[in-house]
Amino acid sequence: MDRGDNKLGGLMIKADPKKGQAGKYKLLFEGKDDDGDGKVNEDPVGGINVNMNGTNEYKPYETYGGVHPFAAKELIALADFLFERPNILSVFTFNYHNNFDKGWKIKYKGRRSKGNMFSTDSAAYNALASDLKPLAKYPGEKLNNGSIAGWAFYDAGRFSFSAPAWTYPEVKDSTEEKNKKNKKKTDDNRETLAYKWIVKNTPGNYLEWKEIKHPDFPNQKVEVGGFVPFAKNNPPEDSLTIISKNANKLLFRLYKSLPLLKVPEPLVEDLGNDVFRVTLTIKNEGTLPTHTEVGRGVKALQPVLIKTKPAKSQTIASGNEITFIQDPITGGSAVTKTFVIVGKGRVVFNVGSPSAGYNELNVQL
Amino acid sequence: MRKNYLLVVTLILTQFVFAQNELTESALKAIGAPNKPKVDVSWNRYYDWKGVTEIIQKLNNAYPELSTLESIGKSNEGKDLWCLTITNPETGNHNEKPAFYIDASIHANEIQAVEVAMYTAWYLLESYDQNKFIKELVDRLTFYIVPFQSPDSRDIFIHEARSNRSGTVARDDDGDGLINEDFPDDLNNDGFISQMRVKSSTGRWKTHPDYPHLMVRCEPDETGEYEVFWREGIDNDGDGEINEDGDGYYDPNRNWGWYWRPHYVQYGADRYPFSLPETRAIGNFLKSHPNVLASQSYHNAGGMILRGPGTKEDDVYRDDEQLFDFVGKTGEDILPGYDYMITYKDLYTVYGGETDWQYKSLGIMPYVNELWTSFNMFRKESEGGFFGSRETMYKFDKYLLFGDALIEWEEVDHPKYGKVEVGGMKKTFGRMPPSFLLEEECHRNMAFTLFQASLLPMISIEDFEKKFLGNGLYEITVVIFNQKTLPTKLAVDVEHKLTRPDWIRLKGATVISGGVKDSEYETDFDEQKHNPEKITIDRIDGNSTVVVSWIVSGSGPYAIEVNSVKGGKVEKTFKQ
Repeated sequence: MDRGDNKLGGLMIKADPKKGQAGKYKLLFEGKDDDGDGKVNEDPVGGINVNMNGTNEYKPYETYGGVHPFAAKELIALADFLFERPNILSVFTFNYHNNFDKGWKIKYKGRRSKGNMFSTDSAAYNALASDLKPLAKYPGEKLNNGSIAGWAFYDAGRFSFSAPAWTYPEVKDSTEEKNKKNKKKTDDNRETLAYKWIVKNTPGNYLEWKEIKHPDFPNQKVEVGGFVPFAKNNPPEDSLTIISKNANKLLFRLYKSLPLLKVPEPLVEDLGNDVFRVTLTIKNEGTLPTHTEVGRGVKALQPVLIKTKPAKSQTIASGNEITFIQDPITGGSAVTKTFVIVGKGRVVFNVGSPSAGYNELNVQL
Repeated sequence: MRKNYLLVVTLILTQFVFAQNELTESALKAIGAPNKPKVDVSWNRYYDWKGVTEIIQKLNNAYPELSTLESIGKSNEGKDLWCLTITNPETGNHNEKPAFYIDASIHANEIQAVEVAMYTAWYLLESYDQNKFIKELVDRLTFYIVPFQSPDSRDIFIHEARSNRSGTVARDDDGDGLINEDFPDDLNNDGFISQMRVKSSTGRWKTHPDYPHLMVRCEPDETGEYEVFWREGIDNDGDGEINEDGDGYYDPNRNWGWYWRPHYVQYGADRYPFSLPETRAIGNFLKSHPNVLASQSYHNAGGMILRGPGTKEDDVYRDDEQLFDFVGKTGEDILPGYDYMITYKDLYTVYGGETDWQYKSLGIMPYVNELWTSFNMFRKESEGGFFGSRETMYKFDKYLLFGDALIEWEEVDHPKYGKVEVGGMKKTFGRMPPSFLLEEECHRNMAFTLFQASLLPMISIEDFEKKFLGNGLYEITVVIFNQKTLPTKLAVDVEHKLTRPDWIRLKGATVISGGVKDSEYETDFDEQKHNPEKITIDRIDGNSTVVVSWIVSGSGPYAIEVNSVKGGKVEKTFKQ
């Protein structure tokens, strides 16, 4: 590690050997070698980071990753909750990852097909994400291994949106103003943003480096200081109102994007001799598709079904009592399905799925 | 009240045992079998959950000093998942000895796996007093035997017509919101789901010229007589499909926490790793028994001794690979007709398999045996892959089973196809041995397992040397020896620190310095600066020694403790 340049005062930054930088410090969490094994803080309290313990891009043998994916009880509870609720089509996670910015890379390909297995999902997702991008304004970081957001899409089959609720806003100093004029991009990460903001506004949240005597490093210079615990990640109290307002706007738009199933009165054609051709048009007047392809892939979501109940006097000459509309009905589109029914009476069509909602039609023939 | 009931049961059991002993009193012992066993079991039939429970309880009652019976969890339908722990507690606690873990029939339709595991439990207990080799194993090691991993579906196989690879946790396979609503159906109530055939002049099937029960496809230039449907059933839910949503479906052996992949990549993965009650219970058991160093899972069929990895993205460490190969090759001799194979390379890709998880997350050396080989029918390689050709099976049925494996074709009414015939071959033949080959299958596979167990590490403190250095100081040197083939830890365990390091501790004196030496004859040791009284080492290799020296103040007596999670614990006191 290196201690930052004059501009940044006391912020520790990682030395980058590619830029020819050599480290001057070792950065450790404050503590001492309690068990006398020569290592400091090597076995702290805890624990599994739930957001590292999911199956998507799970990385084994990480300190907080758990002994295997889904070792965390909280994650098991969350998965059971989602899988028992096939009506949940979208998931939103407050996270340091922002996927409105770039969208999911749909990496899985079908075993036998060469194309993208989930092309309908990615098209719908990318359209909505770019639409809502202005509302997810805080910059994000790379999606981490074993994240809940990644799992919710790839392994739990839902549209998964993720954005930070908040990050420290940029603090502009004269140099950066100049940079801006020169159209140079600042490479501030979350830590730098936090540091600059805290030093300017709540300096008590960053402790000056202070030399101490350390029992385990008797011949070395040891200093303690840096961010007050959690100050780096948590917003100051007076910004909470604006944070929740922003989040509400975004979540409301996500809610409004859910599919909306409409089945108008069907077209009935009398073919003579009490034979009728009945054509149903099933529309999705919402934005997102009626289900996800990946959701079918993990058996979490259900396709739209037509359940046909003829009267006792009737038989279905063409069609089944249960008809699957296997492909998702995308937002703004419609599919039709035709039945041939013999006999007069009242046929009941129940059309829908848990994630699309239901319509029931009584058709007198 | 409950106590009285137990007493009655015990009395009946005791009488049963005596009666059996009288029957076998005058018999001549056949080589290789326990003589006059306390629990007489016929190893030429297949037991349901109740039957296995009874046998395992009898064994535990007959050998309370060598066995402990516990339920490690419940199946989906609430049946106990038994674990029988076999060890001699007088030579040490079960969890402080190297352990061998055995489980069976994770796929419930792989029936005979349970009998192989049960035979092993029976054999170990009944032979303890009769066989030196067995006694040495039971004294030195711990065996954890979980005889069935999917009891609900096993009972379905035994008591109902259908056959089930999956467990019975409710899953909606076709996405209609209904659970298991279209099972296969036993149309003629003969206790078997068999094939359906319909006489049809446009069909592409005919009967076999030599075996008239067998349906074969027509040659391109032939006219057929029949249409054949593979599984007996009707469209129960009116969606136009037959048998599309039966038990489950999921594959419990794709549900473990290593290289788990979702259903669209790995068929049958289920919702997430350990989402099923049985895999979770067994996973928790293994995590809480880190002394397990090697394991054996029984499956069927095809005559295979399989080891990982299950996928080409994964790997096995080189050091470990040599051990796998040595054991696997010996297994081919013990099990004629079986081939030693690598799962992803020689069979197929498995993501989220049990044994890969055991290896990479727990540092266990596992094998999967696919029981029953078609080689056993006529003791020669037969055509037709893992199960043998249909012709060989029908020939075997004709000459050795006298038609017992057949289901005669019988006409029934089908709601969709009209008059159909159902028949074919019983589900109890093809993947499981017939009665007279079952005991052999049990014994040979157990023998392979016990061969593996015999290789588990055996640590001893071979040499102790004390040298006076003056000024109240002594140099103590000990030689620790592992005289068996397996190291106290696999390479994967050392690399990823899956279990804590082994340690060698000196008690009874103040330790000033200490460390590991390359050999007894070296003059310097690799000093461990922190806590030298407890020297930590990666592992003790197979057939190898570790030499430790300490500089201590205090003339003794000294106690030396070698403590390895998977290699066992040895403590010895030295007065001089």
